[in-house]
Amino acid sequence: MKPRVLFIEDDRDQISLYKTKFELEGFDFFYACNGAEGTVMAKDKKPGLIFLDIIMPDENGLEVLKKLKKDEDTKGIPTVLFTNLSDKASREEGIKSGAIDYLVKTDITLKDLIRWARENIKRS
Amino acid sequence: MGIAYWLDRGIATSVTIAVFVLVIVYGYFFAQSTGKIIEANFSEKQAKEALQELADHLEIKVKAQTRNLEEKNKNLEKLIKMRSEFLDLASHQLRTPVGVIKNIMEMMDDGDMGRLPPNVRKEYIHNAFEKSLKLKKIISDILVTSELDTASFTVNNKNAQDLQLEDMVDKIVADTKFEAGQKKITLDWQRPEKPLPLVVGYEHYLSYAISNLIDNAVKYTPSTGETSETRDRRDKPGWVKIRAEAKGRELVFSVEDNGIGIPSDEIGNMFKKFNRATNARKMYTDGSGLGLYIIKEIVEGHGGRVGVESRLGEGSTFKIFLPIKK
Repeated sequence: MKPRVLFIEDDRDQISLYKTKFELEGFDFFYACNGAEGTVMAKDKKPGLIFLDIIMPDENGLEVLKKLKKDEDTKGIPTVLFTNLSDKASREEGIKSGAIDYLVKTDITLKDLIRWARENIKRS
Repeated sequence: MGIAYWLDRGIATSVTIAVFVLVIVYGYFFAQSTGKIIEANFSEKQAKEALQELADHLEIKVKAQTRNLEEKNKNLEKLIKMRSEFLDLASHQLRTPVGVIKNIMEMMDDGDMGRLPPNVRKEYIHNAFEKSLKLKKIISDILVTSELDTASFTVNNKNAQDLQLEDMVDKIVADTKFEAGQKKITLDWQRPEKPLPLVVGYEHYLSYAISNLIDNAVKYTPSTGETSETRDRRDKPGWVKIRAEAKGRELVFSVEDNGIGIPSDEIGNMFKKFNRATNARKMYTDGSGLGLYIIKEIVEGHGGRVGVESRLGEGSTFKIFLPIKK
């Protein structure tokens, strides 16, 4: 079975690029444009890794993370905050809330992102 | 009368003179020393009073200065906090378009692009171009904001010019025509037939404010045409109406659109720094969030004011009021 990732991200231009790249590299790619959709999809699709943006309308990624970690069905899925916000407070709060890492989008190349995903994805 | 008599008299006179002299000398010294004592007492008292006053005064002075320093310290802390919030937000807004451009370039560089269908390839390259334009706009918004923030912005009559508003609008409308055309939005500049009275100000800044307003109207009015961004499409034809007129002592410049509008509970926050309406943010995730703040700062710096009316889903009208040259 293909490794499966879920992106919770509101920027469609970015989703389109990550989707293309992850699919080219042999991943199953799912995405949701907001927290509410994302938590439903996490339960439904059971991804091996979740990339979670922070600045989104309606619900901020840090709040979504707390919900994912409270839910029995999703708390075991490794979740990484994947954002362009690089302030210390968000990073600390994210790690404290159970994110496995905090990646700044512009600081990582697509190639390194794929490598990172392969290393950190939970295999079922 | 013998010698004894004259001798006696001489002695008596001498003694009298001696006593007299003694009295004078003593009196002189007495007076002198008493004067000194009085004087000494007096200046000691004066010095004490002065010292006391100084002490009291010093305490008040120190207290006032401490308060002053505490206030300055608080202001500095506030400023530093504002500055770091500004940098966090500004860097997020800058990174977003950079990230897209960078990823597209990396895919071209790695040869991934060649593995994609031609229409997707074309869309990505177009996207990278669009993001570079957005990036340019965000950079200039951030620079203008920091300019406006550092020198509390006001028009100083020495460097200000007499400005004919219609001429400025002409140029901006000509620059925006292309973008509006691409989105199939009618840009209707209702240029007044008679010349408007002059306003005094800086052309560079006022043009920036006017062009921000017109750009916003075009940006947040969905297109009827086919665009790569499906979020930005609807069937109702879009229009933007631009007007300028003199009313009393003011020039009123307005930009009306039939775009997405503003949620009523968010209208009050529209001119705040980094604020973006939720529906605007859903339409475009990137944007500096500084456009309207800049407009307000520039217009108020010119002694004017800004206004907005809007209905969600129906459109918005933004107005700039500028004092007419006296």
